[in-house]
Amino acid sequence: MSWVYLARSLGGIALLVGFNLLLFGRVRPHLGTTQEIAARLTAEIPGFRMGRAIIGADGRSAVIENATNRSLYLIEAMGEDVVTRQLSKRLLANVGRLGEKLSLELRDFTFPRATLVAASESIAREWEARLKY
Amino acid sequence: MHLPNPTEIATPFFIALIVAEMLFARFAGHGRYETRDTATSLFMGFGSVISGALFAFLFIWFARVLAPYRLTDLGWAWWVFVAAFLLDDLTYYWWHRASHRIRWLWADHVQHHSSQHYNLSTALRQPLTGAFTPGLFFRAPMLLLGFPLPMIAFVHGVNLIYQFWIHTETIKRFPRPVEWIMNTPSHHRVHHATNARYLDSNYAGMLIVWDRMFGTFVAERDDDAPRYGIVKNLGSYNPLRVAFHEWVGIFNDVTRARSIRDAVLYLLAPPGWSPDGSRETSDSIKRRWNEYRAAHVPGE
Repeated sequence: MSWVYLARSLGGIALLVGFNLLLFGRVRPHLGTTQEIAARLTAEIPGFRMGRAIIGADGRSAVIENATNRSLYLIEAMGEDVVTRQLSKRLLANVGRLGEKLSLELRDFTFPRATLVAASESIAREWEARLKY
Repeated sequence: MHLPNPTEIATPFFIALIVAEMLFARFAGHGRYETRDTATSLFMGFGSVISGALFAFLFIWFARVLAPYRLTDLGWAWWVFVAAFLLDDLTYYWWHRASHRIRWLWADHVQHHSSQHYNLSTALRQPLTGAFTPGLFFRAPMLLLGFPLPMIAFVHGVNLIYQFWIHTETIKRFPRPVEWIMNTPSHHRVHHATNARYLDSNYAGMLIVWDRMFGTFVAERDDDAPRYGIVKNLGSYNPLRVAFHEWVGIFNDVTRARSIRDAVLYLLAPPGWSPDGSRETSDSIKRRWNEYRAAHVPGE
């Protein structure tokens, strides 16, 4: 393997990434509607039924309850896709709140934190209590 | 005999085919590309080439260690090449199967599965950490049988190049005889899917007949479109986090294990194993899904 080969490879990567951006643009991460979130989780989790939910004002993050067993899922938009975690005491390192802003810290190397801005402070407080419990 | 490096020859074709697939995805609507995901895949491919070159000495050292125990010297006849292709593909099947069932190997291989996209750039999302796994031992049978070292490296390179073009959603299915014998985009989409029915299946490299023989074949269904990625998809595009996330997980689990047995099983049991069974393995996901289907889906 030569330096020329490596330089050409880096050039090829730059070309392809640039071409990708040109053709498809930048994706604004968005979870979609409540129905779309429910459809995704139903496909992933056998027996999932949409329960209560808090969806961030920016539409990027949500905490959803599975009405079947009252378990909670954190779901965050990542590009066109989503990342989901079932919340447990072992995973959830900390829950903080500042006004209507909820901050979740996770013991997860690739998904260390999430932030949700609730519609009101009372809703944020209610979910903070639920998550801490 | 001097054999060329197949990957170096194939690189311009990889780039041309990715450009063609991007255009097809954009204008025909088949397939998906996302800039950050593509960048991660390509940088990991680049890193994997460098890592492979840096640690190539391990393969050569391993071959030298085994050299005195070779049964024979098979030489360079055409039929030896054919046998090498077949045996390398069979070896690949077992390495690949082990890479999904043993967490130590999975820590490396998961990097290839970490994209939620399935396109030609995903094929280049190759692991950086193969040298830190015992994957090398899967090469032992071919070395001991007496296949020349350059031949083994060559046929393995060709096998990996074959697997490039099957990472696509643009090709639906080939005629039945092809789908029966060869690994195709349809079969490999199943392999990359996280749908419960598709987990841990279709480990083939070039020939899908190995999966049919060893009971791991699952056909793609039109009523269950594959969802790509891993059971716990990653929340980062950072190639270093992609490369090391499972290694960090293993380190955390092993250092916090309550017994030596648990520590060993965190390394060697299937991904998701835990002493109290509180985490999900692909087996437990499939079991739960089958139970749910049996109880709630008519005709199952």
